[in-house]
Amino acid sequence: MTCYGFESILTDLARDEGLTPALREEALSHCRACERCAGCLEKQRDLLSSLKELAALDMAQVPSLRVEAALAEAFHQNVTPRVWRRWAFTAAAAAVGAVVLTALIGTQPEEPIARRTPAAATDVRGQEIVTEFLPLDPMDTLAGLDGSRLVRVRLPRSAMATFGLPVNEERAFERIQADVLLGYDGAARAVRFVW
Amino acid sequence: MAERPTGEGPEPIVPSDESLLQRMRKGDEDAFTVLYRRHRGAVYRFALHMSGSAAVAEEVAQEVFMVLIKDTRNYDARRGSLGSWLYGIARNFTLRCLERDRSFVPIGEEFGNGDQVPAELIVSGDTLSEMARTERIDGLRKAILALPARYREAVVLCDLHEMSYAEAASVTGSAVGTIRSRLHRARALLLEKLRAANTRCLA
Repeated sequence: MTCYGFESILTDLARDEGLTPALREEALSHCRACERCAGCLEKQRDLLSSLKELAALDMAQVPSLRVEAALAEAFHQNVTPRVWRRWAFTAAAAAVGAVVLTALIGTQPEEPIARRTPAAATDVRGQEIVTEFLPLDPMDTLAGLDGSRLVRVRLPRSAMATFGLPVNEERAFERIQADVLLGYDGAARAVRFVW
Repeated sequence: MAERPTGEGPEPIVPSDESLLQRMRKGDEDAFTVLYRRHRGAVYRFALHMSGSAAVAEEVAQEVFMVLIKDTRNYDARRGSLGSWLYGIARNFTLRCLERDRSFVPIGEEFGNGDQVPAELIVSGDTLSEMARTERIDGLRKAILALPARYREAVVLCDLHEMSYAEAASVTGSAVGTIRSRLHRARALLLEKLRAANTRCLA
């Protein structure tokens, strides 16, 4: 091994990383024969030793309690409400689903079941004004519902609040017509409100 | 680097980062606290070693864990450990802070012009071992801060935080060979700076 070759692996040798045992031995052998390279390795090891000493001195350094308190506060403001909102929405959607299911079981549809697509169902029907289809599961994109069934039911107006629609509190217990979109398996996938 | 559970078996005593992360996403604050306390030291010390400023280190630590709170879904375990991900964020924030306030690395030029050598770097002997311990370490600390950022982070990650070349490359998003050559150059620069300070003192 030449001095130039030794110098190129000096850092690896001092760290004892990235060298094969054979190359390492060759480098150490060169070191024994070359005083200058031996001196370089010693300086590198001294430096590394000092760096480790510095790292050890700083090992106990951590952020102040103020940071932990600020993060705890941020966690409360960000994660906790997010989780709560997800649960609340799921519970509300489940409640609407249960109401819809009850309506489907307990009443006959007021009009014949029609075969509609989600796109067509968003149109204004004659004098009726309808909302967009609102998925019962917020993650449902309502894809693949061509040819699915649409059922007209009556729901309490308060169900609209579940989907973020405004509700007059005085009329919250009145009933409003709604179209429920059913998937192929008969499960309610989305609902739209009809005036 | 932060300590990681290494035990095998169906029920490790120490919960893994991944399981804590899952609990945290479901709103478990205790899980977040455990994760924070597991990784806060490494993040804080990285920023401290890179900036030389406790204020910057605090700011960076807070920002890094805010990202963990707000954008935790950006972390993909298939691309590396949580520790590496946090280091990467800490690196970005630290470099941004250094860019914002360059006064944290003032002694690079002073080494060059030779007018004012910081008292901490004035040494009386020929080798590092002849320095008083406190002065030696303090001088080394300042010499690290005087390195260009790309060399400084190689020293901080590989030598102070004892990462392998591969781990440091993962944090910096560079090739292993790049980290290796930067560390090689950084070590040479460090020795040069310390030697120059020593020589000036003798003169």
